[in-house]
Amino acid sequence: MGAGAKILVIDDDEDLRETVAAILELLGYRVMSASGGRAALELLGSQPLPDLILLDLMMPEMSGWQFRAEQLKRPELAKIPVVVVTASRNFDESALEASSVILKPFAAEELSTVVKKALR
Amino acid sequence: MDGDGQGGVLETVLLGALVDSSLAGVALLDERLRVLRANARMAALGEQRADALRGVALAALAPGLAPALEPRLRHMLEDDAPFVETIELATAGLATRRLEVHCQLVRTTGGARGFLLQVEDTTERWATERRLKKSEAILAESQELAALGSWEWDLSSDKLRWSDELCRLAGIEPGHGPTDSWDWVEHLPERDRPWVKEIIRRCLATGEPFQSEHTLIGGGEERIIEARGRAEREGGRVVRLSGTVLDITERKRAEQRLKEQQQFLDAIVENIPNMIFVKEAKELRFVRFNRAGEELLGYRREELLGKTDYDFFPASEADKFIAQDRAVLATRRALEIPEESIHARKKGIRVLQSKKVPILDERGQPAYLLGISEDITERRRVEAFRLSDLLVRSMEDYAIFLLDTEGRVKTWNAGAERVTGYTADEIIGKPIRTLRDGLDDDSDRTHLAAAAALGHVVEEGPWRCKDGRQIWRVTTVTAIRDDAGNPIFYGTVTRDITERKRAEDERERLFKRLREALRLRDEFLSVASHELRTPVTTLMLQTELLRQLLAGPETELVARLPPLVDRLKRQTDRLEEHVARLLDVSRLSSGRVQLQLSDEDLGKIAEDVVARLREEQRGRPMIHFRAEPDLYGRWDTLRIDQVLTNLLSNAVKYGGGLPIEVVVANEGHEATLRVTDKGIGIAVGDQARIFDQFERAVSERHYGGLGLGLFIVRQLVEAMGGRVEVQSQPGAGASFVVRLPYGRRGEDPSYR
Repeated sequence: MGAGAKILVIDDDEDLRETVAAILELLGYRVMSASGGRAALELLGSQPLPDLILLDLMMPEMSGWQFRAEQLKRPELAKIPVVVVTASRNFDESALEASSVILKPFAAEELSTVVKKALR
Repeated sequence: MDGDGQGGVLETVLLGALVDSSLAGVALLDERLRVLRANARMAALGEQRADALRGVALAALAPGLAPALEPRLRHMLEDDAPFVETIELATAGLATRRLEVHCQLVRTTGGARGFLLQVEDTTERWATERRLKKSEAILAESQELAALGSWEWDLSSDKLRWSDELCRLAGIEPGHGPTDSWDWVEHLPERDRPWVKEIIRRCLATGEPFQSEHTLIGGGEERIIEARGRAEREGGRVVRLSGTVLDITERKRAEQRLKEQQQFLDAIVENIPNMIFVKEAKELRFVRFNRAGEELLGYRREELLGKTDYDFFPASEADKFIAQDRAVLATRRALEIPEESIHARKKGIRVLQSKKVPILDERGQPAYLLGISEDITERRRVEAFRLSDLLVRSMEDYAIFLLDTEGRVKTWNAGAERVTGYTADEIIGKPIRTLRDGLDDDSDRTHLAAAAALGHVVEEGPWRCKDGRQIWRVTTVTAIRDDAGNPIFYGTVTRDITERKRAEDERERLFKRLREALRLRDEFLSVASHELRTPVTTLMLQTELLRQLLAGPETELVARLPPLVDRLKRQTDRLEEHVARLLDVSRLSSGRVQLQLSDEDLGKIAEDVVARLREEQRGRPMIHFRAEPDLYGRWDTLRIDQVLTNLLSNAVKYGGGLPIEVVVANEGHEATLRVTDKGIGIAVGDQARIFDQFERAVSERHYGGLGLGLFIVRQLVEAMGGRVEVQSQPGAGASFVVRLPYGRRGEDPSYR
């Protein structure tokens, strides 16, 4: 799956969220975005499901960890691949069962490569 | 004698022949005691020749006889009474000769008178008689001495004869013993009569000799006699019984006394509580053992007698004992061994105090070795216990005491009193649980059981002292067992380690704090990397977008550039803000805060900050502001701005979007800045630590920011001589109050 795939970006940082969305749109993806875990779950309940989720971990109210746990609990959502976005170099990613991890800071090219790979 | 006439001649010749042939010495003297005639034997008395004697005076004929005879012969001329004189003569051979001289007056036919002396040598006869008398005397004497009586019973006449000694034995005058047949029976006690009679009858019947021991009543007391008898036969018939009676009363009594003494001695030896043994000197085998010895060594005397030390003790021990024995026997001197150990069969190793004594025979040669050993194991143990007890009592640094098997206190030393405050009188007999009153459980019992099983245990825990103080102590419990291995007491040594425990707890607390600080640092680094890398990422992606836009149509570039630039500005501001904070923290942590004081109105400073925040937040949430007018003092505007900005940022971040209130007030000597939100609040337990470096009440990494805000607030407020407080309840919002000393113009406000 390549261009035209639908990607959900979850990040509490508005500037980063919108910038990432703009980059992905430039790359030809359709983008939905949410400012936190809870907003994302609401979105997933009302919209057609995305092909990939880009998940920030460090968020208020519902963190990336909590969202991922919630997602894995729901069979219809569990199979959506997730790319974890984090600044931390020191965490146990196995608990997240993520498709891949992209470490901040990252450039557009790296984002493109990781997303393509995750959608394959 | 004159030979006048035939008849006279014949007479003279006959007489001479008679005289000469006589075995005795014969001499015929005239009235003047001159020899008329003497035979050879007579002449030999005076060592003269017979034919040369005529006319010789009696004194010359027999010088030894003359002095005794002459007066008597002259007297005989008067009374004509013949006599016999016994004269003892010392001879050349020193043997005394005994002569019997028969003297008589004779008359010749002529009417002349003379003396006829016949000298008979009775030496032999007399000696024989004397010997006989002597042996009779000896017999009588020895019978008396030996208390040996004798008797004869002539059956033909049925007469009895008792010897003097036998009479004496029976308490009768000698010569007055029983004389007829069975009369002797009267002198026996009733009880002996039948069987003694039976013995005599048997002898009479068979003629066989007999021997018996029985009692004889003599002078009111009973004497024990040994009687022997035999029969004499004539023509096959028993005609006489004779026998001896020996008084063995003294011997019997001596034997009895000896026996009693022996028994007495045996009883002493047997019952003395010390081990007594005797070894023969040659091979050192045991020949005697007493009961204490059997009990001590754990062997019966049948097992011990005839054996040596090597049969019972380890070789090295036996070597030592035997060497001692040999030394004692060689030197013939007793040896004292004040303390030695011995392997007993059942009792294990015992400590003995011993003495070994040589016993010599009549020639002074060692015959036996006597050993006496006292088992001083218990005494030593008691002495050792007394000593250690004394030692224990005097020890003050340790509580040392004994517990019985029920856990009750038996002893209590000075240390125990010092540590717990209880005196011996107060605690002895009480359960040791008393010291755990109100603390825990029955764990003492568990510890005693463990000590019984393992020998000793070390346990740690609290005690409640008499004054209610709680101390922390470590106790070693050791089981003290009897010989069978059963615990009889528990010895405990306790040390008060309250101080050590306190130091340990303090160290543990510091360690925890250090660990927590490290955890916080790691979390801070995690948060800081998020907070710093997120804007950097945005900047990197924005740069890429900008590049794309520059490559695209100009209309789109113009349309999208303004928000992009805004974002670039925001992200660079954000980065600058974080970097500035980190630098602040670095400065504050090292205590380098330079205050820039100027005369300002506190309310005005606060109002500017609120205005800026309102603008930044675009009016959400609402910020209400109130300030008393003219709060002039010497303030560091920049620092107060920082403090208030931080508090307001927190209020916005944790305030849940609800209105925030900022109040500046004059409270006497203090000016206060109060920032109140209605957000999630802070748990009371977290309120103290939120002002520490890297701390935040919310543990999850939800809220962004570096977690340095309140730390910076406190550091700055304190640098200005003030303090910061928080009042909050979870879910009910939080109110932060900064109290600043209200410095007047010209005054130095930075007092502390």
